[in-house]
Amino acid sequence: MSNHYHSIRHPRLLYGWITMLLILSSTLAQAQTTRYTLKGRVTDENGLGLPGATVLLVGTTTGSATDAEGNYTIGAALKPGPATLAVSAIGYETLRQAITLGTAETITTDLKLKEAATNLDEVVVTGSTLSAPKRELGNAITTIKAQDLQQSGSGNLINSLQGKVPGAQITQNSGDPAGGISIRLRGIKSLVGSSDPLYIIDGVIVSNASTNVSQLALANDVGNANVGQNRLSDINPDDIASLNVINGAAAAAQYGSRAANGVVIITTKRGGSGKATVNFSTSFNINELRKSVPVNTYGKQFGFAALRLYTIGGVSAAQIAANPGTTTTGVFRDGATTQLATNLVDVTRYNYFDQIFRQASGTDNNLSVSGGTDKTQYYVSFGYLKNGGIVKDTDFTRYNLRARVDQRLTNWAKVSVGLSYANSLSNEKANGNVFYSPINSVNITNNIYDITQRDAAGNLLAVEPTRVNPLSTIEDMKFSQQVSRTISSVQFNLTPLKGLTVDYIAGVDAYSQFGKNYIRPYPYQAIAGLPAARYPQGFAANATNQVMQFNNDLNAQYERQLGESFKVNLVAGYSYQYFQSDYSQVSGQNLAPFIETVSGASNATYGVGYTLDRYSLSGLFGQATLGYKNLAFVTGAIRRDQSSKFSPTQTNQYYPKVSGSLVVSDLDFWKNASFNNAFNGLKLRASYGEAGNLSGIGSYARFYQFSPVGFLGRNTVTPGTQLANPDVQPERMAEIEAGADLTFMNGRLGLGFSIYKQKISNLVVNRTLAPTTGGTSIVNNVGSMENKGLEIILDATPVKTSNFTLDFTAIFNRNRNKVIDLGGLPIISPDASSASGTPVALLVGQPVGVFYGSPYARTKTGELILSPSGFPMTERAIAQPNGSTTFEPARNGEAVDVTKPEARAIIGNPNPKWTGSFSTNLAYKKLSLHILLDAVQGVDVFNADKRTRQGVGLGDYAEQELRGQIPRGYIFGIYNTQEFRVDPGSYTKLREVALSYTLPSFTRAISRLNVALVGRNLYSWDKYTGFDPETNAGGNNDLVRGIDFGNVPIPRTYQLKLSATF
Amino acid sequence: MKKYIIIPALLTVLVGQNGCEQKEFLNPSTISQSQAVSSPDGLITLANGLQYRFTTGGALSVLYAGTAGSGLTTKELAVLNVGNIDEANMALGASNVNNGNSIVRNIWQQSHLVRSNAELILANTGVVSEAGTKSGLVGYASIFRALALGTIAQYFEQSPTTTATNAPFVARVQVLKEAVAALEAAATQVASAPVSANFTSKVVPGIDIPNTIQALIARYSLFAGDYDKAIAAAAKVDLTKRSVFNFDDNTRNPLFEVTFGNLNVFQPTNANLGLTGALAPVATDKRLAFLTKVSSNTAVTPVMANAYYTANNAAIPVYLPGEMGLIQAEAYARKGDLTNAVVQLNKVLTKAAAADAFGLGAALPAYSGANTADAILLEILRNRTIELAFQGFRLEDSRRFNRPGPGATGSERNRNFFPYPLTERNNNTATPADPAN
Repeated sequence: MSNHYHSIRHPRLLYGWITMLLILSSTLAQAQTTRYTLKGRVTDENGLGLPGATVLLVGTTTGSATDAEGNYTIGAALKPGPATLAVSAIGYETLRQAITLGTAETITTDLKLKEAATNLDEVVVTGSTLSAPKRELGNAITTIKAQDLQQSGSGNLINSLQGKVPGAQITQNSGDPAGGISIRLRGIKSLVGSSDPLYIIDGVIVSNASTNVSQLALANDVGNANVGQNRLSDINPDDIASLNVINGAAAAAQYGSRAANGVVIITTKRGGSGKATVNFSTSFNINELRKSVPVNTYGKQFGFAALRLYTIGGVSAAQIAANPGTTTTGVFRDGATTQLATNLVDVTRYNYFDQIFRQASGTDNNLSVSGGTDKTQYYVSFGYLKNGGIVKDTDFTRYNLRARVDQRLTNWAKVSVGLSYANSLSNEKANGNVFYSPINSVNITNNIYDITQRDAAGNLLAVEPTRVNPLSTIEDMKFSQQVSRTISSVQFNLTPLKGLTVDYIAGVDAYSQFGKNYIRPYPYQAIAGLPAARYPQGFAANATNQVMQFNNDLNAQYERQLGESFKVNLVAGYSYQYFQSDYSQVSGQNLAPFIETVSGASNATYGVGYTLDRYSLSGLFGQATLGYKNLAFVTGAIRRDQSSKFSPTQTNQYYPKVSGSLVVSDLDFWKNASFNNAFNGLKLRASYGEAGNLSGIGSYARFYQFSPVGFLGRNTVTPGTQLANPDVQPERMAEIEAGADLTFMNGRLGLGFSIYKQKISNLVVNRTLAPTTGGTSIVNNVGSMENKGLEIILDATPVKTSNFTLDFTAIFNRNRNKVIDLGGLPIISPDASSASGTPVALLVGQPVGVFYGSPYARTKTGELILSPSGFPMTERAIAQPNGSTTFEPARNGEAVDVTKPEARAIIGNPNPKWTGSFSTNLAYKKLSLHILLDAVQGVDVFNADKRTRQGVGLGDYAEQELRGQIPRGYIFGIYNTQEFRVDPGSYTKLREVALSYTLPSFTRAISRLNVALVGRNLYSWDKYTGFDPETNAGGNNDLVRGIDFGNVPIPRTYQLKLSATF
Repeated sequence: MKKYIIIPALLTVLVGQNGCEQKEFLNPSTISQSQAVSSPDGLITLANGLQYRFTTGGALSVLYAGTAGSGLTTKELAVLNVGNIDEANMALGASNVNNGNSIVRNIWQQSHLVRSNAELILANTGVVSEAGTKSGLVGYASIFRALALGTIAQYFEQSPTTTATNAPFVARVQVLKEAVAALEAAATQVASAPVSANFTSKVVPGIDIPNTIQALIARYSLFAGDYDKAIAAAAKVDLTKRSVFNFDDNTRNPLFEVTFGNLNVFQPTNANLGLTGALAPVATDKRLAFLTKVSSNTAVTPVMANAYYTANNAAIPVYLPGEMGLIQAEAYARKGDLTNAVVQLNKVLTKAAAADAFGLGAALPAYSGANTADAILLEILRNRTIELAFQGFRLEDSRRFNRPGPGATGSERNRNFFPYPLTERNNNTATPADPAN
């Protein structure tokens, strides 16, 4: 025991040991060899060639994948004697074929694979260089293959995963062409750090951060929201061969310290031996607004045309005097009476949304060439994507280059190199959270102005005072960002001894973002009187963000059969990760005419900033799997991590895990049982694991920082408002998971389910402090939280003949998140609301991010209590403790006692009760149809825009009040009640529909030609009153979700796609 | 083939090279507390930080929150867009002003942060050897500690005066006395050694330290009911000197930036500052034209604030010369010395714009009303509300002059004091009950 720990504590000793072993073993491997060529064809039971099957010489890393016809060729220098070929293909039983290496140098072996009754022998990737057959795993791991991504109608990788991953809630936050998208595996794990999973591409840890370089003007308005595109938008989905999604902590030993949020392991395409294959695809798509919101087009207004907020604004005696004919009625609300205008005057109404939205087109093109010899395989690709946004003048362009080369050095050593370069450019408009964004500028302006009017110089004219003409947001504002990124890796795979593999990966993800921001001085400022927050005299800024992530992994794996029954598999690994970012920005205001950059700003308004981030992380792990008769497996592992984000006393963290699996259906009693024909497979699995969130807090969050600020030309420093605990610890997530995989009817029907419970302890909370302590918050480990859930996946292939196949997959997930402790506080209000006014709260005993706000006053039987003016009203409470979800209603007899404080209740919950999907594929000869329905149910959206539109006067309620369909004063009556803004957010979307046809072969030059018609987000079944319930003004912030505030709706997309293989 | 044996060895070297040292990364863009207080120059940067925190940051600043809290509760200011919900609730008053209101929170929070930061400077002046620089630091930090405490006392019944977990609350009179005591200590230090050129060259320009110390002693002594001290201190202030908070295009005049420069939040209720009845201004009062101007869009508001809120870089006075006269007038009147009260009052009534350091002058005839304390005090209040318009005194004055309170007939204010912000109540067990109104 002491020895074991000794080696873990002293990395150098471990390397020394490995080096000696390697040198020794590689010397042994240099025995007399002969050059052999192994070739043949892999077919299914009907004799059809199986492309993509893996042929491996057992005990070595020598192997190859079959080409499109199922042929393979392996060339290697080998010792003569007996050997074994192992052939595996997804959906088929792995075949082991003994061969003899004799005098003939070319050995032809044709192999026929049997369709698998269960998929338990499918090999699943569990780490960048680690993999294991499914039967050995104690956890659920989902594999998504390339073909699942091809008919999604989206050029964004994460979008393409929507509805395909059990346990994942994937939300597109915005309909911008490069819009942000968030993915949460089994719920939210952290209140301070991100809940974004860790992404690994070919062993390289890649960033999915959203760093704002192109929306600098809104920095003061956006609160906690994390807006903007995520960096995975740089990845070309066409380069991806497979994705493995690891939801649970226990499965991800290799990434222990960063695995609390789950891991997504992405493997890119590689070349195979044989002649070059050329793949080409091109597509054209059209994006359009799927559904608009109701706009008041009734040509009337209360009071007088210049009366702002005519539905809710009181009219003063002076205003009545100045506008003869104005009549009013007194409306009583919350203890005060307000005089609202009742007379109607004529106005002309417009639908400004028509000026903002457009139908846009896009194209996605990919060309790849792959092939190789038995020693060298290559894959190179080029991709070009351009997609227009449904908001005018927005688009996203991406170029991708990728090369992957695998080179066999000897029969025991292989090196591979992956190089990729991506360049993306997005043209954006202001983010929804501000009132100069295209959609919010419409929402907050009474629609009685002709916004297309111009003065003699061609300038747009003012609309309502203090409001931005919506067309200014399109014509006179430019926000863009350009990204250059490389993700590159070098990998060595060594098999120095039989059963021993050693893998080394060095990976770099480096990118730079450059953002440009421009708001032209408003030509109509003199009349509009815009506040400073709208930058009336113009704004320009640039920002750059330089990021480099480096990781370095060494893993050694040894597998050995012990006697008849037992097999042992040992893994030891070491990882070092380093992150650095340098962010600088310069901004200015009061721009000179016609100059669109910061160079034209008044020098008195220059603003500069530089921030940098550095951290490193290193970890060691050991893992052992013991197998019994290939049907029972136990795995145990321990990992130790260190992160520079924590003080030296807290940095060493140990994460244990243990898991087991039992293939019940391989037990003798089952094999002989009569039901074996119908019920072929049953695997039981269970696991316990711990993982951390070592990157969960800011790199400097444990320090109390004094920051410099610019102030009147004198050096100025302000003490931070966030106090610090130097001994803050990483959050720790412990998860227990159990499940089973069942197979029926020879694999035609498969059922998998998992239940899990996660407890996150040492939860880091940015805890509010009484200002009399000298600060307003402190980052400290004071909380805990849990996630409990269920995941079910059902696969079925009811029909499978040579001409006709029908299959479907249904996924059901539910997750229940609960905050258990907030360090003794009953409630924390994250600075979430920004201008949206959303009452987001963290409450003990409730899921994260519930809307904790004012409800309508109701009787005990749940009927609305009306105010003396006859309108629903805000509930009042007697002495409600802060954070309490229940209260005693304040009453004067039957009436609400409006002198008491407003009541607080949970008026909405952005966490869905369940999510699920249903997909089906129907293939008849060369024609196939794919349909994916994606559902998020039992969820609420805080529709801030709904109320704004009513108050300003362009909403549907406003129209009803004007037409007398609802009483005058209704909007005013309910305006302050936050429950009014909560809308049902459940939806089921027709996410993907694809009809594709493989054309008959007409020339030998083209081996395959396919044409497909794809639709995305074609229809949504929902009761939401805004554009789209799938929306998130908080961007990637985990605490601020389900808020609709000027967000660009997700477009409907039609795509025509042509793909060919040469 | 043998050459490949080198691979494992090289890999081992590679991994070993970058793996073993666990470095600690510090942020070179910030400093620690111990670094910040370790030198006189460090303390001066913190002194500038006090003013930065107290005066800038738009709606977060104490200057904005104080003007909003005082003006909206007394009809001095009117909300233009009820979408500004905290301002609108402040104008409604009563329990519409709840403990989550951001104006209430910002007055409390920013003032206490400034107070705490000032105490940090005062506790570390031991590193300053040069007496004149020490005078500057003690004076500056004491001025802001007093402004913070005094502002809190204008809006809250009780408050802590120290930095601590579960800090104890004391009555507002005690809070005001604490502010005065700090200023008196600073006055002694400044008197012993004039503020050095070293300090003046590094501190933000604008504040006249010796005069501001006396002016604030006068102001807060008056609020605390210590009339002799108020009279003595006010008399020491050199009325020809200007003491101002300066701003520029980046660190902006918060009232101009957030509200007075646009038509979206609030503006003065009308050209008479919302004063009616007994307090209505005299039409010939020349100060009115200085304080407001005709609105650019009269459909939205009849007038806009003018005064010290006309540009991003317009300076806001720390105190006005007229305030010193009115402090003395009120203190004399409350002591029963009506003769001296009228003398001081007349200095303000008859002051011409040209004679005022800020160009503010009523240019009215001398006081000719009844020679009773009540009548003179009413005239003093009228003049305070006009002379000191928009500076955040109107709620305090309305209360001190016993004007009709919340719910009373002819009510001139909708609150007496504010509730304690939720952030304090939830995290400080010593927080007392909220006032009824």
